[in-house]
Amino acid sequence: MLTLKNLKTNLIQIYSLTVKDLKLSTRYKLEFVVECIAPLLALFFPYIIFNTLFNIKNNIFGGYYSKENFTLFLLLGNCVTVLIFLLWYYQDLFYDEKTWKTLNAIMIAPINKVNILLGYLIAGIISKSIPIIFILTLCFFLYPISLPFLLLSIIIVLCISLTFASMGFVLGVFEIVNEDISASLSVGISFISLVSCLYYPIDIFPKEIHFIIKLNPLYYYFDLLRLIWWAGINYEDAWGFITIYHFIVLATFTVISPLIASYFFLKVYSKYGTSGY
Amino acid sequence: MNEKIIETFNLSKEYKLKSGGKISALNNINISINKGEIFGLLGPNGAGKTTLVSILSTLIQPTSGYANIYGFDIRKKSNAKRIKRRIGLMLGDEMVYYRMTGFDNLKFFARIYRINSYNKKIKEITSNLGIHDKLGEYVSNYSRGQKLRLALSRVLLIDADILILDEPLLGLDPKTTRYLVKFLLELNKTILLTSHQMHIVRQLCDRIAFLNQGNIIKIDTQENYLKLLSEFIRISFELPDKTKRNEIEKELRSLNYINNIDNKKNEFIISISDYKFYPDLLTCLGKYPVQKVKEIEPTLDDVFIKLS
Repeated sequence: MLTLKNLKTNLIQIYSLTVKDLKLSTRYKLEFVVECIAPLLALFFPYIIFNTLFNIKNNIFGGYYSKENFTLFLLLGNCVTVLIFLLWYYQDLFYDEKTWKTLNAIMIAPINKVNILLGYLIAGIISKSIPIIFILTLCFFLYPISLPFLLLSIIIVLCISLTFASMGFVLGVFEIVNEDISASLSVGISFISLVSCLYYPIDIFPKEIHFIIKLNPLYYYFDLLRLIWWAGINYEDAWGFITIYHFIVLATFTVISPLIASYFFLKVYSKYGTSGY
Repeated sequence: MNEKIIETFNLSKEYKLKSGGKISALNNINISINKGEIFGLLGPNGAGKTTLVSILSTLIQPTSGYANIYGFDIRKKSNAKRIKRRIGLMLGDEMVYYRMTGFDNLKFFARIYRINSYNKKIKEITSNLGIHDKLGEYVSNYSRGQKLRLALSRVLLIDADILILDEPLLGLDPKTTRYLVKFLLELNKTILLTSHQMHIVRQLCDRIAFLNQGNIIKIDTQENYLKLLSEFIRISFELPDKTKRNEIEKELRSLNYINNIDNKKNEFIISISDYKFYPDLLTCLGKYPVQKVKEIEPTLDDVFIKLS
């Protein structure tokens, strides 16, 4: 039974795990700063290319991408890229914890395993929050929107982080039990993420393969983030592109992906344990 | 009557090989450890020591057989928390975060083990182990001895009834080793210790199990192990004169009471089965310019070599 004392104990354990992970990821300060800045540097060349293309023709891609909004979409794409790094954050973290044997030290402690995963989850999201806040501030500064739209955009960013953290857990557990599978999955998941129209509209692909892209839930996540922000600026231009599927996919996958990932993590870990060290 | 804290019953563990076959890491292990006992688990690399330790600390499940800790079956998930509270596992100088300070490490583990007033406890334990002054530093800056002391502090902090220590003193200088051996002896805890350092086992353990290729070869007290070797009396001597070595070896081999002769450079080690042959042997040796004749006390190393 969940008593107040139990709740307090659980919260302390989750907090301790979160603080521990944050301490580990900020141990080398310069490394941490570089990790925050590096994604922004990646925007330099796409910006030049997009700018040149839109100077040739404003509606070059079709859809809702235009000279007025492509900078915003690049920044939002960059924000998501930072969250994609959660995949490798967890992969690295679980690998380290395995080789240091600290994962064993945690797993033999009398602690609920869900608390362990929650601690890792919160720490991962917080560790990516600094570049995310910076990019969103930059977006707000360049493309100011009203508070409801801003809040909705932040909620979508949180949903995306939860989904990528969940995928990170799946990679992480394979990093513990079988590094070969983890490496293959990592390539697969990052490929799917990158062909989810992260920086560009779906219209650049031939119409015949649109249905394949639309089978990918991540496409709806990224599309909705862009459209919601753009709706805050140019409602009429953006609203026509938003469908009910965007919200259904976002809500469904945000709820089920952490549940499935946690269940999968605990099942695989308890069946196979740590291997290789 | 001794209270049995740890008991294993035909405990076995198999691992699947990538080639499709199976490898047996433990075969029908039956051991029991009494309350307050220091039990040594000896064996060469790959003997199955760490597998056994991992099963007993609930990290992995056995393929067959079972173990009881304080009467709780380790296979039952409902017993996991009860068992975990009672066990402190130390795997050498690992299981601590090198990227955090010593204090942050201990604070973290104290919190997840729900230990109240941990600051006082940390101070007490680390002062006893002589690392209190280092707690503010990153563990990566610690010496090996300090890392081991920190790892031991972590295990002591959680105040477990049973300490499972896997190679706890490996690679330490003699002074630190002596200090930690004394410390462990004064703890009055039930300890399961794995090591291949015979002098550590000899100083610490009440009973010893020899493990080889996943099988328990023998479980006994130190005294009984040494008796195993007392069927032979081993005598060593040196013969610096090269020209005489072949001659003495030939003569010794002709004596039917000599069981074995080992010769390395100028040192000879021979085994005889009874003291009654001593006078005759000394007469024989007296004909040569031998030096440093002495009887060799049997050691656990000899037992280890003999059994494994």
